Amino acid sequence: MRKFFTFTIILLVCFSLVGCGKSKQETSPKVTIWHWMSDRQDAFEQLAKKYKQENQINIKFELFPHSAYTQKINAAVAANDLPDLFGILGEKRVLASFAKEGKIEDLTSYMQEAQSSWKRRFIDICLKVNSFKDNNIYDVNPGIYGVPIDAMSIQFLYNKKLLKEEGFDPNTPPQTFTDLLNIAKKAANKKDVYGFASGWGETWLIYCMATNYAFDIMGQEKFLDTIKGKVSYTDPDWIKVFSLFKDLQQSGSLAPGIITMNNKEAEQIFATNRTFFTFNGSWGVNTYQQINPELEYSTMAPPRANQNYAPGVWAGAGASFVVNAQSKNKKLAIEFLNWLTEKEQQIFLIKETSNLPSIKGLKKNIQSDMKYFLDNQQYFTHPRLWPENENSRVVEAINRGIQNIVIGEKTPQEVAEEVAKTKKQYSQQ
Amino acid sequence: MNKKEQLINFSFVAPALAIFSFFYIIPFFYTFWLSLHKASPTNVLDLNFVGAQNFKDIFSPQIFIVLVAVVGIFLILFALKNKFQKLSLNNKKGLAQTLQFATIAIGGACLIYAATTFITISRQAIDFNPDLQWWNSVRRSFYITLWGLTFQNCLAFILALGVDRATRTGKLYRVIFFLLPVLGEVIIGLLLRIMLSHYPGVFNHLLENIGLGQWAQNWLGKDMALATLAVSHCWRGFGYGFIILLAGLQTIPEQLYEAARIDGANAWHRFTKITVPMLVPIIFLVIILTILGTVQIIGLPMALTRGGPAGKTTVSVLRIFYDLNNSHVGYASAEGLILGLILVTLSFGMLKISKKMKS
Amino acid sequence: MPEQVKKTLYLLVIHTLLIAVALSCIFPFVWMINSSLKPNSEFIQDHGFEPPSEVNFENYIYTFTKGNLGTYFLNSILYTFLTVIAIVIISSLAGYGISRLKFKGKNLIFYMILAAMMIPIPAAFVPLYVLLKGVGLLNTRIGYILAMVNVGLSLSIYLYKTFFDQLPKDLEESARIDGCGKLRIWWHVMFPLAKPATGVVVIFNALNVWNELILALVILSRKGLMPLQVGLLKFSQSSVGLTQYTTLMAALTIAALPIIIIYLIMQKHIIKGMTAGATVG
Repeated sequence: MRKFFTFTIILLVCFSLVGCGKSKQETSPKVTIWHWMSDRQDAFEQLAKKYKQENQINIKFELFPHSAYTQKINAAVAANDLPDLFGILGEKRVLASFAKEGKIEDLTSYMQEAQSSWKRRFIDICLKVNSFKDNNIYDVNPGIYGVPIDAMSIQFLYNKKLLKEEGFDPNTPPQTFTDLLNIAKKAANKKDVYGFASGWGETWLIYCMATNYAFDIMGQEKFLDTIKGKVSYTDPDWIKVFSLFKDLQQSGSLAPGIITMNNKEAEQIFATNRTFFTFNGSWGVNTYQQINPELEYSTMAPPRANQNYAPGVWAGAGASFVVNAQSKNKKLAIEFLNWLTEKEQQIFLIKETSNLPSIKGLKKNIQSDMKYFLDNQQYFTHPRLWPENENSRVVEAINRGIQNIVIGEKTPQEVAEEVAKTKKQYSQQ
Repeated sequence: MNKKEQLINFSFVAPALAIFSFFYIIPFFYTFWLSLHKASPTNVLDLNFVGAQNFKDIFSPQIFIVLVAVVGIFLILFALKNKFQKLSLNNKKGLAQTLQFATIAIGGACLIYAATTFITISRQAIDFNPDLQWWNSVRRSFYITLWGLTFQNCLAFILALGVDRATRTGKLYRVIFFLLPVLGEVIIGLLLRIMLSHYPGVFNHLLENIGLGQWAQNWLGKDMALATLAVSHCWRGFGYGFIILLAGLQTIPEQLYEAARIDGANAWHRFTKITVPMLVPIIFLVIILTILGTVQIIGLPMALTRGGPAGKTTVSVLRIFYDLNNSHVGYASAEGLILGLILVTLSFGMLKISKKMKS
Repeated sequence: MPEQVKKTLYLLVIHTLLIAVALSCIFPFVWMINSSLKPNSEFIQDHGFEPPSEVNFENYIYTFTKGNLGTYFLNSILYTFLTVIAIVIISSLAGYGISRLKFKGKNLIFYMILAAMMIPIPAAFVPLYVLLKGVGLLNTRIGYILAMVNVGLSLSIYLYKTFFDQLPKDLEESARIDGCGKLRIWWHVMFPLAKPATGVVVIFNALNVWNELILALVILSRKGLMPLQVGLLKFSQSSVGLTQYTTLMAALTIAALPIIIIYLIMQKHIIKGMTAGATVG
């Protein structure tokens, strides 16, 4: 027994030495970046290597799984332990809070420095999602608070091959929602093929689609009035929005299990020619190419449910980095971001990760599939561009309500009432 | 007993206590402090003191008042019955008495608070509106726990009995039944998701292959998801109970059974009169472990369903996790405290019952 | 004779049940390993039920080169090992102290320790982070190990305490008459006697640490410090992990096999400890 004890102690000492030795051997990184983008880590690391060769500065990308990332940031901000650069997930409110508390740097002055053309490089909408205008409701000093490193749009996609097989013209996708339903119903003719599949297990995709149609049915102004509390969710227009999901469900064309499906599962279904339509972001191209390089598809404008207003299509910065205002390496970090958004690096990044660039003038470098996601620009919008966002509890109620409609447990009317009730409860406080 | 000896004795617990106070007690008070705060609507980092507002939102003000009053009465009664002597705090009466008075004071404060809030509330008509999302998530946790207590533990017990009777050591079974707990929630969750998802539909395919095609269905759909989660959890976890129960069974000396057999006791009698009474403490250990392990599950639902469809598998800890993600730090802290309190009450109740049954 | 038949029948029923459950436990492994040896397209066709048309290790090679599971794996072993040792020493000391020694506030401490078991960890993320940062243990191995020790401590103390309560006191008495100090009694008499309790404590905590990931994500921020489960989760959320089932399965196999092998080697000792001590209990 005594032998065992001494053995253990020796082992303990050894291990702790190993532990300490290791942490000392690692040269202390100059700039640390936290992010959640598992699919981009490889490309990031290659870029970091390149940056070290060019500038002798260590860049360390630390990846955290998406599900735990926000927790990590929340805890780090409470302990004042944020890294030099990081991404912020979530509503604009969160970005605003970081800006207001002086946790992240206002980048306007860096971007506008006389000799630098940094600001002019970017596509407008990508910068806008990270900026605050004068007199914003968050009471944040106007300015640009984040650097977009790529861009995205979330669109309706259709499978050309399947449409052709059912006798539709693969170059004229459905224009109205009714057309969409009629085509989707044809899926019943085929085994293991569905009309519509999307990653509705990740609820924000539902909210995205719902707001697209809210724009279409009631117009942007009325939509924003709902957020402000001037229009109730029990308004007939909102019930129309919710009813679209009822129609989808009743057409019988939804992929089974659609509301537990995650994004990647839905992408796989679309990539293997097993659904006519899907609703997905430009990040999906990566998966489509990996699984089925021969996939024939394209994006389409949201099939209209109403002709009076323009629908919305979410687009903007895919991922943005913000700069820790208290970091000692602020300058270095900002220089790195500048470098990262130079043409050469952007070309590398969009090629490696199949994304859209956040800077102008790279049209010819965008892969052909990716170009589809530049369509429908006239409808582009983003929650971070709206003056005000919905309370997260209300968004949660909308998503849950729509899921309930899709599984046939609640009617649009019931959901509308529930959402309105939640809205009332949280606007009181 | 002199001071020095006390100190030596105390030093045995000191390391444990040091770690505890750092990792539990301080965070506990911190969490409590956070639970009295709420972020401003436009700035999630700006926490404002709101008193018991979060608790009122969770319980609805009406129930909250009743609870506070009950706690107040309980504290006063507890202090008046003078239970502090039992905690063996001190040979002298000083500390115990101070504690007694303090408890009475806190109890009194609770009662006064309840009374004043009652008056203010009765003036404004406030809806009865507890946070159903939260309480439903608690209900789901307990639904799974119920499965764990019944199905999982019965399975573990039956298997342990079987192995004990049929093979003397049951080495092979011990290894096999413990494979799943070894694997961990993440691996099991990911595997099950691939097996149970509608696509590629491995499990349904298997059912069809063995001629049970009519049983095939959407296992993660609206009707089945929670039950699937519960059964998967039980299936993953029964190994723990099995190992402990088997170890317990093998401590029962064979002679006892022999003696009973000579006395003419049948198998059922031997089971109820010897096996069960001998195992009571171990059974209670397994029960408490099941409660703790099940009410707090998060990894499996996260990997398997992410709380969907339509929130039907959002268990309580997952709910707390999501609330934290949505910057409701104060609210999540309050939820965490309430869940902790429920668990403490349950487990201590269990221990009490176990002690009663022993004596 | 009928007695004999009855008994055989009885054994038959028991064995059928045992074998059925055992199969349900083994099936996922066989299926997982089988699937991991084939390309994804083949898996989609046959759902992993047929043996691979040709065994190829491409998935494994890919996982090894891309997943970087090696470092994660070593970290997990280190964390598990150190945490379990620390828990065994600290909790058996405390269990012995609470069970046998007298000092002020003993019961209060015991109840506090028990109550601590019930606090859900996610609720305390922010406080934990702030505290660890305050003492400079954030993002260190020691910080994570201490946090994990804390998680396992209450249950282990409870187990040791109840176990020591059952032991007869005379052994200890005779040691005391021989002039042993309390620490020596603990180490030479009580701790060896507590082998079965130690067995349970070791298994439970080893598995708990091995499978933990949320605390690791909160406390650690450097890739070089992360345990295996985090690596696995990252891999499963990467685009390859989410779409190439068979590659994911190779990663799962790589993560699972070593712990199973360690378990198979260890379980002999653990079970020996449990049954040897069982006669005392």
